[in-house]
Amino acid sequence: MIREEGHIGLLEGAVLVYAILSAKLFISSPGFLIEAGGPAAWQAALVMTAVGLLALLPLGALVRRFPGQGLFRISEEVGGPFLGGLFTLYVTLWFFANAVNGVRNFTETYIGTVLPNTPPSVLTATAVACMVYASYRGLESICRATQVLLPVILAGILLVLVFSMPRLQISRLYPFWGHGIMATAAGGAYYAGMVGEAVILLALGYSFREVKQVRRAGMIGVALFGLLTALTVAVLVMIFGAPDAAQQPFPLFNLSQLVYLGRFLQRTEALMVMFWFFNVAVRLSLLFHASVVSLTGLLKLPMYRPVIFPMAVLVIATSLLPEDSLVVLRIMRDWLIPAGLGVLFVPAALLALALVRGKGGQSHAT
Amino acid sequence: MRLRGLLACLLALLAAFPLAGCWDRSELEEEAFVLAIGVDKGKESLYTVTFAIAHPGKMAGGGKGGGGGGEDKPLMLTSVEAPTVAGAISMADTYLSRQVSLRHTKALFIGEELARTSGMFTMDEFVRFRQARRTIFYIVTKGKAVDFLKGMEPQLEKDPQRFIEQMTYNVRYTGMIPSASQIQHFVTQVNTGYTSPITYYAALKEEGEEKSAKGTSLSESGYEAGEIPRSGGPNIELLGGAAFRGEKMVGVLNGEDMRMVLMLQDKFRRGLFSIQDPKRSDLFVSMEVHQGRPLRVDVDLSGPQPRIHATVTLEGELLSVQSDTDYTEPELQAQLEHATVGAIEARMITLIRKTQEWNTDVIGFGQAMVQKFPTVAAWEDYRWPERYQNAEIKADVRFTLRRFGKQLSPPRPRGQ
Amino acid sequence: MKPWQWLTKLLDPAAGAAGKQFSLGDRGDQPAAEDVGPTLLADAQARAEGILTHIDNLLEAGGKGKQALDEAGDLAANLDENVERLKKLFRMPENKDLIIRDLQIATQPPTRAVVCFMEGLTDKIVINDHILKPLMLLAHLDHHVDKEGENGRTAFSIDTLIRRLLPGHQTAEKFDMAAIAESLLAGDTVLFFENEKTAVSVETKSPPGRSVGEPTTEKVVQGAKDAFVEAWRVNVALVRRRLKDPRVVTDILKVGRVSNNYVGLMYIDGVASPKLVAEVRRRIEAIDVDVVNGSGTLEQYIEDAPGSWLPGMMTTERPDRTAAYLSEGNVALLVDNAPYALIAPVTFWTMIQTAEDYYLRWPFGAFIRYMRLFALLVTVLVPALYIAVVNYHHEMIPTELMLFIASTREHVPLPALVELIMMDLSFELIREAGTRIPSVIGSTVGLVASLVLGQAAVEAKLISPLMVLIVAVTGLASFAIPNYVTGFGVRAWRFLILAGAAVLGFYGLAAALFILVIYLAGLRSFGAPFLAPLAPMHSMSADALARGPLYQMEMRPRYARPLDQRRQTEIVRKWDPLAPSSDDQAKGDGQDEGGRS
Repeated sequence: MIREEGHIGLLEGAVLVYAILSAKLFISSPGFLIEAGGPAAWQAALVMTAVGLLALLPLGALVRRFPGQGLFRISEEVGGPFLGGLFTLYVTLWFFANAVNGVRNFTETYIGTVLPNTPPSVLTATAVACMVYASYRGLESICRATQVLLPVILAGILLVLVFSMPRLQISRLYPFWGHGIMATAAGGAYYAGMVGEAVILLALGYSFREVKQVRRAGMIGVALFGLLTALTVAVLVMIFGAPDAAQQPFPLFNLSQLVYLGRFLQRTEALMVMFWFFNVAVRLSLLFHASVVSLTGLLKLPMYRPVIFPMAVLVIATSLLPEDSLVVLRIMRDWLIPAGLGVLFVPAALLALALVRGKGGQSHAT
Repeated sequence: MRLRGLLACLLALLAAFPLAGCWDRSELEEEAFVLAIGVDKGKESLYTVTFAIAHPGKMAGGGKGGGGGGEDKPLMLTSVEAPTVAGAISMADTYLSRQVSLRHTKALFIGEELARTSGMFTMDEFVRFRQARRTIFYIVTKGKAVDFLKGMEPQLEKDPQRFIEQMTYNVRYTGMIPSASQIQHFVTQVNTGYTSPITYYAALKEEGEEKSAKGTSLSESGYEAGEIPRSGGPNIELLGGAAFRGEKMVGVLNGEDMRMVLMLQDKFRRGLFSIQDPKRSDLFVSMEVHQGRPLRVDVDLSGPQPRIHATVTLEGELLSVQSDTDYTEPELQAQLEHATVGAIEARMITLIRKTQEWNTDVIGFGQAMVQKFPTVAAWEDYRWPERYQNAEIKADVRFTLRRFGKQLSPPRPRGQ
Repeated sequence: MKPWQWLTKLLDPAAGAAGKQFSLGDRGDQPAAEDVGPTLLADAQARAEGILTHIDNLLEAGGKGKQALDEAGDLAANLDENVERLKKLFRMPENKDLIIRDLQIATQPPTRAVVCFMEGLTDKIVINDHILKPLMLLAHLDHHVDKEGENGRTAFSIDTLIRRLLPGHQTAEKFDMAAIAESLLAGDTVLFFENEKTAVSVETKSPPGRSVGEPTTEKVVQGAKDAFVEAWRVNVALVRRRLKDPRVVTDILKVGRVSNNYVGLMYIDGVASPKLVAEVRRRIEAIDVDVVNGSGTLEQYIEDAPGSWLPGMMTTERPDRTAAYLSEGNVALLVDNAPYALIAPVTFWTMIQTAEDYYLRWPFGAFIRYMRLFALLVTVLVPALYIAVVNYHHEMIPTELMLFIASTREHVPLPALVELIMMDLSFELIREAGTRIPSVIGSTVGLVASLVLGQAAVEAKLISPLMVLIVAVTGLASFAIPNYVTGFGVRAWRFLILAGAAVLGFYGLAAALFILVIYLAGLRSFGAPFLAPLAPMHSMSADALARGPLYQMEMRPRYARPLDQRRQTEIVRKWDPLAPSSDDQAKGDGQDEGGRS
């Protein structure tokens, strides 16, 4: 159906998944993890990664049964028009809500940190313009741009972590088990909803050259993200201490403000903010594109480009709904993340249905 | 059609340039950069906030503006009374021609009186406000901060803030100030509760007064800030530290105590010790001491009181011998080492008693204690800060002399 | 009376004038209809005659087999008629370029013939010695030419004439007027014979042109110094002497209805992808315009996105680079009358490579490549970074520097952005003026002028001293980009990113950069992704960004999809004791994947 998309390979897929997930590190996600896990937040991060990796297994199997088809087609074939449509709608709405929340969160973060006097509509409009342009150019462009920008994105996080090393104090990671193993595991499992975007592979899996690369790409991306989250959270706890770090809406920004290496390398957080923007832009573009493409499939339209502009307007309008910056965070923590947990299990549900109903070609499984 | 679209884009682009004056943009010469802030208890309002604002023409020196003479201060000081620091900023904006900006603030000076009574968190701006950052040095001044700022004369540097910043580096070779005291350290330590903070303590040297050494120590480091027996040089003394319990200041540590604290925190690098000569009590031996092995802290929670045993390993280089004893001989060397150990341990005990008197764990034993507890709940139930004053703390020092300088036996007249 | 006449002339110049002032338009008068009519009528008549003759010949050749049909052109069997048609076609007698010479071929009996050629494009010595002389003087020595024909008249076969009497190295038989005109315009000599429907063309091309000289824009220090010239045959020869392989193919295409310009399509059959060659050919053959007279115009007609910031084909004036790209599977277009070759497809990294990278050792080659990449980043980002830092993010500047800048800026009336744009525009002005100064040191003079101007502006307190430094560094860095057209694109980006930074600080800069990267990532040049091999990530043979050792660059780059991927054996320096031995190599199979996808 959407053949003009082009092809992506294993490395591109992994980079895609990683980039879309890692933008969360710059807003409150580490704070959530630290709130849940205390000093043992890094363990919660590892639990989160494990749950995410587990959820990728049925996804890989599902894509292998239905090669070359997008989310809408698969769920329609497996669940019939009504149930399948519900699945697609759920996932699409979740992507869309994440995109909207992401736009608003990004606007609030940037106004709160580096550009205090700029009206939010300007930032929102610029971000949405970037998203629209990227989605217009197509998935291939976004993937390639992500690959080119990957060193910058990685540098954004790793440099901050490396430059903060003089302040690390390992004793702040203790008590070792935080609030207790059960609490850590429960928190980690709850926040596995943060990895829900990995299901974007389902929505865009038709673009992969070989189906068996889908699962591998997802696993590499999720594993990398999980590792980096654990590292970031550990560093944050070691520098700020668990109670304080949980109370920061953008802990990584605070960390970058603390970079102080001698007389020269000080106060460089604005530069880090610029590096982070690339990550945020890639994530928003991908989420937007995924929701546009899924919606196009759902409504059985032949092309996705005309849908971009109405969706963009919708994004701008919805992003203005929450009243203040904290409501945005709460929406993410109380609604989007649990819904993300559900999204993680959608492939498993679809696979179960497919097995039960005997749909899909097993012979394609390689 | 295409051309029109392109023209529209071009116009929009060109329109972007004039828009650039509308929001966050500001030229460098439109801002007043505050280099240091001083906060004291206020008379009419809650706080008296002093801003030390840089004067670019005079501070930059050289250039076309020409540097000022000695009487031209590179900083402009102004004090405002306000209920909060943010309120003070807003009031200062009204009578200054440029907008006050905290982006280059390097140091926060708190008057001792304020530090002892209300502490840090009523100045939440430094944590929350985006322009202020947590790398600002947190310095407690003896007396009022405004007096300190008015009286500062760095002499060697033109920029007082650079002076302060470079003074904080001398912990590497004297060890008489805290290893780091920025707002971030303060806030984190108070928040997590494993230790209590120590901040820099600064004082102005009053002219003409030379106080004698406090306490019984005969070494050169047992002075508090402002009391070094000297004359000449910059009148700022950044020495020792201010010990806090929670967010309130409870006591002043002198240079000697600070060294012990650093040793017990495993952050001591090197410093010069002068101890009494074991053979002749009226003369001294100087050694440069630095850390050998890392600190070892053993914690024992079994009894009713927590027991802590800290082992510090030091190494030294002999710098000067005033008597004619040849301390390079093995038995005499052992005697010297023994005497050094004794002297250092005595000072450590003094320090520990001081902190237990104030009931504040500034040394940081809490960091070793917390590793014994599996969960946060268990640690919080234990309530270490309250138990500190009754804890049994023992410190052992091991010292070896490694090098003796360029001379073995001291050069003395023959025939003695 | 003379002063009076002079005064009247001053007051009313048109009063005593002989006629009206000349104008091409009609000024409201009716156009002279009789000017255009006869010409069009004559043209139409000539064409109609040609068509009628063509029909006659076809009818006559009907049933006589394919060759007869092929040879049935529109020439009549009458010499005078043919020559008249030729004269009308070439607008003689107004057009004095075409020379028509009657002669008698010394056969028995003598045959009338007419020799036509364009003066200036032909080699007169060859015409005199090798066409006129054998036909006029030596034909009687060869009796095989005479022959009894039908009706008692002597007829001779053109075939024999060509084989025995015309010592020209390339001859061809022409059957219709259009082909004859084309050949004459190219510089051949055409012979018409009495009672023959066939004309013969002999190759005598000798167009005027430059001799091979040094490259003007792509100079290297240590490498070949020959460059293309306007005669495309010479260009092809320059490339061919570097690739002495029979698989190197030069196909000739013509573009332009009036210009009929030759375009040589060169590729290596067996390395270049046939899809690519077919696509290039298709695009060129689709051009239906009057005049295409240079490589720049041809490029715009066949590019993927002619409105894009960066060129989709590379223009080079060096034959060694062209040969190198041909050997990697690319296709080269050599346009007549343009001393450039067009290479397709290209990637972004092609634009910032030079030939020198390969002639140096690889660490130094890699170093200068990095310098160039750094220069690219500098020229695009530095002005924007400066504005973003000075206007938005004051905390990034170290305090002493910031206070110094603030103190120098106190005397300057303009905001930083206006200063920067002013200086940038004046720099561009100087650069353009420097290019038009008619000497090679024009650019150097321009650069010095700009610095002096900058210094004067600082003294006049119009701009701050740091600004001169920034603009100078940016301008210098932009000179380090080898490709001339890319330089324009990059300079345009600089303004775009500057606009972003001026409005929103670092965030605006990042947004503009992001949009730029997305744009680049979606560009394609003849099907090759523009950012390959960085994205999509092909296993790079150490050649895109930096440069690896030459003996390790075993595989051709994949973006052009060459048929044969391997260009070196695995171990090139077999004699080197440090090189892996061949039995080690048998275990691990070389570097990258060998297949294509």
